[in-house]
Amino acid sequence: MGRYVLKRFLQIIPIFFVVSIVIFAIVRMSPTDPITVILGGKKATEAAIAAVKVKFHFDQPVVVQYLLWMKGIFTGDFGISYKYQQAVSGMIFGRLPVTMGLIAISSVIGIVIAIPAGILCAVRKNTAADRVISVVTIILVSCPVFLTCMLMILVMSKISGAVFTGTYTNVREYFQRLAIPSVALSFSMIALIGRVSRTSMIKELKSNYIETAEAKGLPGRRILFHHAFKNAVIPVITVASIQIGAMIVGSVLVENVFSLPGLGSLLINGINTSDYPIVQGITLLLVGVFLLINLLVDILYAAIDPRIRYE
Amino acid sequence: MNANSIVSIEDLKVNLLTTRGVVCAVRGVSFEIGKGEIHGLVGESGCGKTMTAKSILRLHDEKRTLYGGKILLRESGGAVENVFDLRKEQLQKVRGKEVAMIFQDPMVSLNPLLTIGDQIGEMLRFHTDLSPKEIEAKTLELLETVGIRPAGERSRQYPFEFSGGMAQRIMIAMALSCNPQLLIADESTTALDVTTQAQILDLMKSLQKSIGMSILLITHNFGVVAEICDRASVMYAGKIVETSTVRELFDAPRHPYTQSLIRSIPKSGCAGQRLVTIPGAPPSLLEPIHGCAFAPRCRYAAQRCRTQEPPMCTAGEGHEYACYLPNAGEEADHV
Repeated sequence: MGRYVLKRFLQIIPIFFVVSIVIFAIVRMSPTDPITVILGGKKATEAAIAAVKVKFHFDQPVVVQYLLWMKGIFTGDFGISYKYQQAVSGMIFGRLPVTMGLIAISSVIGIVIAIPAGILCAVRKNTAADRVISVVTIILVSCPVFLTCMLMILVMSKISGAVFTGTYTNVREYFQRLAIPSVALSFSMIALIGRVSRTSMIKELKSNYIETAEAKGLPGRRILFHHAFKNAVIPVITVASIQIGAMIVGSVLVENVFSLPGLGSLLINGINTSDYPIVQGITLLLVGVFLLINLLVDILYAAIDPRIRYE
Repeated sequence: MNANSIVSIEDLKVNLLTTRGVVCAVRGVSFEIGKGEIHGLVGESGCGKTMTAKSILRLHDEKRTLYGGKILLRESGGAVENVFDLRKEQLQKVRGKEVAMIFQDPMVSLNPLLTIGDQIGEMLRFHTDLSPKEIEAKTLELLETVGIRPAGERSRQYPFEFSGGMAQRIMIAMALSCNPQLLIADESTTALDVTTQAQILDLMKSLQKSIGMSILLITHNFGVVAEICDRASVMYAGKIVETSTVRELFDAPRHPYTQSLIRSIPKSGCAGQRLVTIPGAPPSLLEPIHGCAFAPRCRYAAQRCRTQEPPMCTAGEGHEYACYLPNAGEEADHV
């Protein structure tokens, strides 16, 4: 198991570097001249332009620029924002709690609701409970996330009159601000995971080893959880990990609607103002998170399935 | 129910509700299995062998199955119960503890994600009062008994690390863990190669002798019946057409279907010759069957066979058959 984890970890390192090169190259290919952005488009003196070139390493070859950027990444320095003239790392980490919190809370909500619902549907296949849950999941999966967000703001502010949007100042406010957006973001997760758990569970409950377990006279709960669920959860993990990736995109929309100070709005802003260090930094961070989630999923697979572990 | 019997199946009917209609998979089956007896249940695919066997444990999806008749089971305490009268919890105690079952394909019958030690041990956990330590010791002992060594190491392995024959040995160890009265073996050697098949049959026979349990052996292979069974029932289209001791079944089969089956066993020394077959196909069980189900394929069938169902007749001690013309085939055989 230890060897397997190490192998998987070593595999993601080259991926990380290849993706970082692609991100760096794409940003360099943009037609906007960074010096214009940094100097705010004003007519600048030769001396000012020269100073900027040195400060942002434009006087160096592209390869050196890339290496300097990479060196910075590993020392926690993501470069300096063209527009704000401050450290990108500080801007990113100030906004990280909102985005990560949104994704984490909505994933937990999604998984905690969807898996039991899926199992219930599978066990009560084709009964009223199954049909009702199926209809609800179809509605949930069909609603675009920004629409649910707006509807929720409308309904919740009518009911309680409380403020659900904007920034936060303490931990309590943090969770208050994130609660509703997380619920909105979790809807697609609930729908998808619910469907997949149902299908996967139905398939496993039909398999031969379940018949063996029944013939052994095991209690229903034991058959359901110890035997069937362990097998059924593997595709659920796959879909959940993909869905968490999709949530990173979804969180951009949710942050926008709820005016939350998250990474999404910073990224959109950075793209609009051609603030490349911000775009590069956030994109690379998201890639890193994605790779780590994938690593975690691979480890989970191996923990559940011995056939993967011993490969 | 006979005093010496472990199981008595009386006029068992199994109807399956499908989208295409009601399938009468078992249409009135009766037979008894004595204590310590190995009883074969023979017939071609789809004749209801497995349906009958699974009914003993009520393994069918009960939302889509209608049972008829009785299955009387003598429990280890001596009490006789009708399986169909049992409540869910009582049924769980019968399954595995009184009647154990092993299946056709051992590789898919074991849970791929659990160690074999875990899968054998959970039988003991739910059916006995043994402590975890005792369960582990008993599990290793069972593995040794079925010839899986070194038991300690192998008990921590997963099903994919075993061959088909080894996996079937594990299934047998699991089935025997609670000393059941009856072992149902559903085509349990069919998926194995001939050598392994012989080993598994030998193992089953020797274990059966030492434990003194009964076995219901489901097969379509007459060779297997000849090798290990004491008595056998031949099934056709959801009914038993003949039951007798194995010796009589081979020496003096009464029913034309049994005779045809025995004739179609390939014989050594007949290389290059066409194999004997039974013309036609079994009837659809979606439609009602009038008269003898085998009549359309039977070369001795008379008018009466097609309209009236032949009753069970006896030919000596413990030999029953359902045919009007019990000796027609024998004469033809000698021509």
